[in-house]
Amino acid sequence: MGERIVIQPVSRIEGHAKVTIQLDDNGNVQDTWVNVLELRGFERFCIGRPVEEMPRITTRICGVCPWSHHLASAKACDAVFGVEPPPAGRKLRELCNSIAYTEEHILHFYFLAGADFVLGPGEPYQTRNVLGIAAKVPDVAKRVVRCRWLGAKMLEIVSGKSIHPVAAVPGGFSKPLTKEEVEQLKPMAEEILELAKFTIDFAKKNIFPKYLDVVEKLGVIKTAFMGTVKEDGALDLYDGKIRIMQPDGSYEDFDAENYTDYIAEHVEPWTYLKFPYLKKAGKLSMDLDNPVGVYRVNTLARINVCDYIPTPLAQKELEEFRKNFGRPAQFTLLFHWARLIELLYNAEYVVQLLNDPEITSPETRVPVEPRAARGVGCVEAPRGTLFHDYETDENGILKEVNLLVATCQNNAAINMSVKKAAKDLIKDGKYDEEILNKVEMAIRAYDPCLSCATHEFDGRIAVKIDIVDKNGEKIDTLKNF
Amino acid sequence: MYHNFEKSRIIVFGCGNVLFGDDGFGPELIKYLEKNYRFNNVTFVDAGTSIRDILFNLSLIETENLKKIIVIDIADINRKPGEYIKIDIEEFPKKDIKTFSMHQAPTSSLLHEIKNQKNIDVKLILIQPYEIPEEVAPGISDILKKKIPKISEAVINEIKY
Repeated sequence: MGERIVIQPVSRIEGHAKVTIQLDDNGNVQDTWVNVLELRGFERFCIGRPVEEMPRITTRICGVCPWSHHLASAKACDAVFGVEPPPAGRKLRELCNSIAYTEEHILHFYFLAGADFVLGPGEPYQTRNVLGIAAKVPDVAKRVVRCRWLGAKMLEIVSGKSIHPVAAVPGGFSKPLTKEEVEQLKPMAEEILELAKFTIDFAKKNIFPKYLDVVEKLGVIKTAFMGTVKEDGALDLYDGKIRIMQPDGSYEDFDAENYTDYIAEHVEPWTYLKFPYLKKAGKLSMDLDNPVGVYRVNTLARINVCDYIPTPLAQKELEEFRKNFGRPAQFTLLFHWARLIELLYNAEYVVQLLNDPEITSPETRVPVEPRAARGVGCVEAPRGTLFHDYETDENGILKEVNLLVATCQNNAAINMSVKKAAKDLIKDGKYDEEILNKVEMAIRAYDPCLSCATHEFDGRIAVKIDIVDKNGEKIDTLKNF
Repeated sequence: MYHNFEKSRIIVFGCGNVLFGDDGFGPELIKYLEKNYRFNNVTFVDAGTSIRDILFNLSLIETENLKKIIVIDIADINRKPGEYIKIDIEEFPKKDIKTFSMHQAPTSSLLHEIKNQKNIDVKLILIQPYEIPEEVAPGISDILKKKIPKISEAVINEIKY
């Protein structure tokens, strides 16, 4: 057995992970493992509770995307109670979802992954972060932070709370939006839309062309994709049917409640996190040359599976993207480009919703009665398709709970992309900080949310590499702090 | 919450995941403070696991009234469960703190930045947990529960100071 490189933790992703790279005797990559933490025991904790508590409890799962859990949970409750929210209730949920998306995508592009591109993968770790960006492009940084701030304020106006939201309730939305509030929100939404337009232009002019060679090579794998579309095939982040698209572009649609007919779970002995795969493939193989059953979710998946985007500027960007990269596009780093198209879509959609007179209707919820039922709620979280699956008894008490989260669904693909990146970049035992960061870049493209209860994370210790010999004796340690 | 930031002189953040035992101490303390104390221009915030998101926003916006941030979190500070230390951000990570639960990097560097660039005083109140379960188990331990009044006093002293 050759030496083993351990990278821990992966900096600037949500939660933490340990990347292990196994080298053979010649110093080339033999295998890789991405170990992540999982929110363990949550489903069991929920059983026995009234189902209507779930939209409030689930926001505590994740401090980064509470809105996605909140809305998926509210939708699962709707299904359990057998009700459909009134149009204004649904639109208010969608409004919050899209505002939260703009916040999330801005955060990821500029603060988490963007630093790799804005400053370059070779920049020292100490400065390759949001503060480094602020120093290099201060005007952009200021604008970015202002728009995130505006997004948070908008969520407060619409829902009362931007973190740990409580406004989506079984049957709809608890707080109608007034016309005065809409007028207050409109200029904020326009400002975010301007930033979204600026961002994609900025990236297309200054960033993507510069790193196109990296985009075309780094962590590239060939997989299927999954995302949500409306009945007519349009991109939808809140509701619709689930579409699985194969690498050859063929696809199949299904209702979210039937997800267990399409997705199975594989277990590996070295990680708690399960590996969902396409059930019809019959098995999961993460072989780089011949993967079986592997699919991806998140931005690139959604951009690939939809037939069109129902807002004009984002649709124009989609057309340009497809002209450049085809459908489905497979380059892993294109998740970033797709993320910016989605940013634009959400910013446009927020403006659209605020101009919809129906959104100020006082009819935002319908009453609910407990019953014995199963309900599946599914939304597109920024990181990918999120399923909440509840079953209640006749008193509305939870008997079964299953959550299928986005990062888990990308688990196989993340492992494959890391392996591909490591194999391409580490040769004859030669590696340096930039190479190892590129391995991390392959992970960051998926924007993984690895754990929402991170207990040992000092922001200054971003990456530690232990190199051990075949007997497990440490021969070197590299640190990026 | 964010509306209050703009007029606040002091913001107190209670950090932690309420689903994981003593990790939820910060939010629990905020609940107690909100119930028992009221100050002009002081905002108590249950930051949950969103502290990094909040600090990102706070780091570059205009906050001319803001003079101090107090962050309450659990940490392995090598003390008995329920004991706490109060340190300036400048002292972190110089202190012997083996693990530090700030719930999303790069929180500590953001706090440094807020201190240095905005000239805002940043104090950390770090509490030694009794137990953080591996699986979801909400509710803080009795040992930490009993310490809430005492640690609240420490926060109040820091507000008054």
